[in-house]
Amino acid sequence: MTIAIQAPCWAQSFRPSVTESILDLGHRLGLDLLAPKGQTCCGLPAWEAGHTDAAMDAARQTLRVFDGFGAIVSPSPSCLRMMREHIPALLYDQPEADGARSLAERSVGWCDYLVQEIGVESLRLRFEGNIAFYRPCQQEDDKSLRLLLSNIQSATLAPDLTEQCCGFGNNLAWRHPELSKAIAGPVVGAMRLSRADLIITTDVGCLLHLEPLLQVAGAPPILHLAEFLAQTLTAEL
Amino acid sequence: MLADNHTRLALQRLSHTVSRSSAQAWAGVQDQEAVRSRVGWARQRVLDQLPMYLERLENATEANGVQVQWADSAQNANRIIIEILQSLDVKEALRNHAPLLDEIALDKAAEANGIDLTRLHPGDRILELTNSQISHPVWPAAHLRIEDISEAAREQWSMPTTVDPDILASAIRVRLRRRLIGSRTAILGLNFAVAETGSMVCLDNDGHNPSLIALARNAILLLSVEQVVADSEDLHLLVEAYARSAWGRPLPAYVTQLCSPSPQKIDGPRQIHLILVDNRRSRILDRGYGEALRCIHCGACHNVCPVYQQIGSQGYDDSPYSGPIGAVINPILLRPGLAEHQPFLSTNCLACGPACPVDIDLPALLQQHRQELASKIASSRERSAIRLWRYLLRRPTLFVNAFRRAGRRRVIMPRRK
Amino acid sequence: MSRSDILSRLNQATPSQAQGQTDSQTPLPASFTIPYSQQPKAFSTAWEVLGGTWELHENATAARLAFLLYLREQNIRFIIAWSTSNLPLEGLGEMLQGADIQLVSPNRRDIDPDIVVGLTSASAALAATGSLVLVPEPGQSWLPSLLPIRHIILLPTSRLYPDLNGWRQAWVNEDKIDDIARSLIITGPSSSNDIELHSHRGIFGPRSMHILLIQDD
Repeated sequence: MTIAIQAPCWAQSFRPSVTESILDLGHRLGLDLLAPKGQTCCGLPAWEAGHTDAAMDAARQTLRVFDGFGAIVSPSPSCLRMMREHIPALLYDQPEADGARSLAERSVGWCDYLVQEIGVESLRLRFEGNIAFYRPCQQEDDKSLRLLLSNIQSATLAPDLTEQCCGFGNNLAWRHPELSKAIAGPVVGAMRLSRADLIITTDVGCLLHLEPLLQVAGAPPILHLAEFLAQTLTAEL
Repeated sequence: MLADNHTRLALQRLSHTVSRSSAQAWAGVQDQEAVRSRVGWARQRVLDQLPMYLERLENATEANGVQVQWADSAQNANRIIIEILQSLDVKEALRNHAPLLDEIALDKAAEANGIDLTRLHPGDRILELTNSQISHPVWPAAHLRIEDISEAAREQWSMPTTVDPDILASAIRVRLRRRLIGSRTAILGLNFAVAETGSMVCLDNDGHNPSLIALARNAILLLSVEQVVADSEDLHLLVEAYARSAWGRPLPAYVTQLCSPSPQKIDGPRQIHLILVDNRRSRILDRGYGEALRCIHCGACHNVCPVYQQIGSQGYDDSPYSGPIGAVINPILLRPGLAEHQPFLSTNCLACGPACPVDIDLPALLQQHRQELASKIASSRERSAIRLWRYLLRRPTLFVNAFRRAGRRRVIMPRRK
Repeated sequence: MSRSDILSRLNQATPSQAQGQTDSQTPLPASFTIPYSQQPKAFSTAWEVLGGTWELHENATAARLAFLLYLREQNIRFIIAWSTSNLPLEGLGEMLQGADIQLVSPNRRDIDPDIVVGLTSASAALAATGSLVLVPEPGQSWLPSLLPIRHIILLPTSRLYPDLNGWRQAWVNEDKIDDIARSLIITGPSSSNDIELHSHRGIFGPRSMHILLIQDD
């Protein structure tokens, strides 16, 4: 059964390596993964900005793109929430209501899917050094994530970095860039002080928002979990 | 838009400290979720039958000898207060710390009518001293630096400069006590009033409320109509929830309850006036934001809001209500059009909802505002962007290229490498 | 007229189907209640956490003596106090008079700012939180617990209740709803954190509290 990979709009435009890493890993682990054509955006930025009609357009496009796939894995907790909660709510009284419910049921976090299908023990991961995890505010369930992180050999898992939102907020970053950047301040500060050798996160928006700020602050590098796994597994082989 | 550096740091420090001690206080509660849900219910059950509970409250307080009046606006509330003061031939009064009194701008009305009004809460007194605005519903002077407070004290009280907070606090104590003992009239905003018994309730840790009530000859008490509570059981649950969320304590240091005017030989006011204030609360209910009226003004949502911590209370258009709850009620409370941008000052990080002890779904209410307001307040630039975005939704290559172009021009992702 | 305007607006704004919907609610799970025999210990522990000091005495006689010693040690000569008939130590008035310690009745016009000690009992106390419940009556003013910088309390252990809930339920059963509704509940000394979050005690009420628990059951 082919599993569809959701490619977040931010990833497609600014961080294609996230989707490439998932495909790469899938290939190496013998999973039948495919990033369907026609993907643009799940609609979250429009939804959050209150532009309901525009969000519904994106929702319908999302339904079309993922129609027929047994499952859809998303590497970004914000997109996942959009597909599982907001799209069904948006379309509940539309002809696409059933399709929206089906989409929600078929959508799963990429890390959850990986751990379910492959099992953590089978993923031989190794990293020398301190890893700190930054939990995006949209991340809901993180059990499999933690399992995976604790399974990385030779790595020391630092205590969680601050719980606070990074400030990207999809829309806030372009509406009020100064404010969005200011919110990232304490987060970047915590990352700098963490003395981690690497920071891992799961949301593409957070990643793109924080990375340039981390570089300026002389803080550790940051990767999406998928990028990290692809690199680490590759190194093993 | 951003508050000054010191204020931002102070609010972050405050938020971190209080949200941690608050979490600890709640962690000590058996079945925390059930308690929060019960506390939310205590508020909602009153909101669902507000006219009935208000009438019950009125009956109970009047039976206790309290004189009750109703004010359907901030203006009328002030008018009633001034009338009462004039009828008592009183030229000075003391007030407590209460957001309602700031909402109706009591201080301005008092000044305009020649009434010398002193704020008795130590934090408020410091605000007065330094001519500053309130920065947090529960910790009003948290953003001020001790150097600034000391400087103001030096100027106005001829105190030598100090960075010892205990010395400053003692000086404040001396002056506040002098005012307290020399005064006869108190104006207080209530935290709650109990419909079943007519009990009128104030909460604090420093002791200014019980002191005010014990020593006053005349008391004018104001209650925002949605703050009525059904009975003592609900009251106690709310008081505990408030203490945990506002201060990280199991109970406030002082829970002051007053029912009736005091006869001779017992402290307390001989005359009590209660003013029930509806300043646009019915409009908030009408527009579908009634859940927000559960708010008990504990500040918990502020303590987890990354936006509030950067813009401070001054980012909310001079409203006494800031943070997530402010962004929900201000668009309706303030004059039309003024505060409609506030719900968009959000990253939708969802932290405020779980923090609220009375279970207000703040993220949902903010989203509801954004949905209602987007087409109304979107700039033409935003409108064009949305139109373009919708056009590109079915054209992935064009979509990605357009985004990349916008990124290069720094319209989005402004700091891309 | 404001009243009818407000009520009619609120009536219109409240959706009719909401009325009555929230009437039923699952009761909270019964929480742990401190057993009677452990209440003095629990109270004194909570009291200490608040920063207060305490003594526990087997009977009134022991308490009276200890109290006198305490006052002498602390060199206390003037006390703003409840009337002696409201204080739970018989012969207290005579004893203090004999020791040349003056009990002053709280009358706000005569309040001497140099009197630093206030003496009260309490109508009830809550073991879980170290709280005191004060109901205003003639001879039982709130002022001695609010104005002086030090607050001393004489409390028979029979007036202890497990917690806020337990106290309220007990007084409801005793038909004292009015007293519940007009009481002052004190939990800890006066504290404020308004100057750069620095914790300051006694800005508006006592800085220190000392309680003599008197076993009477």
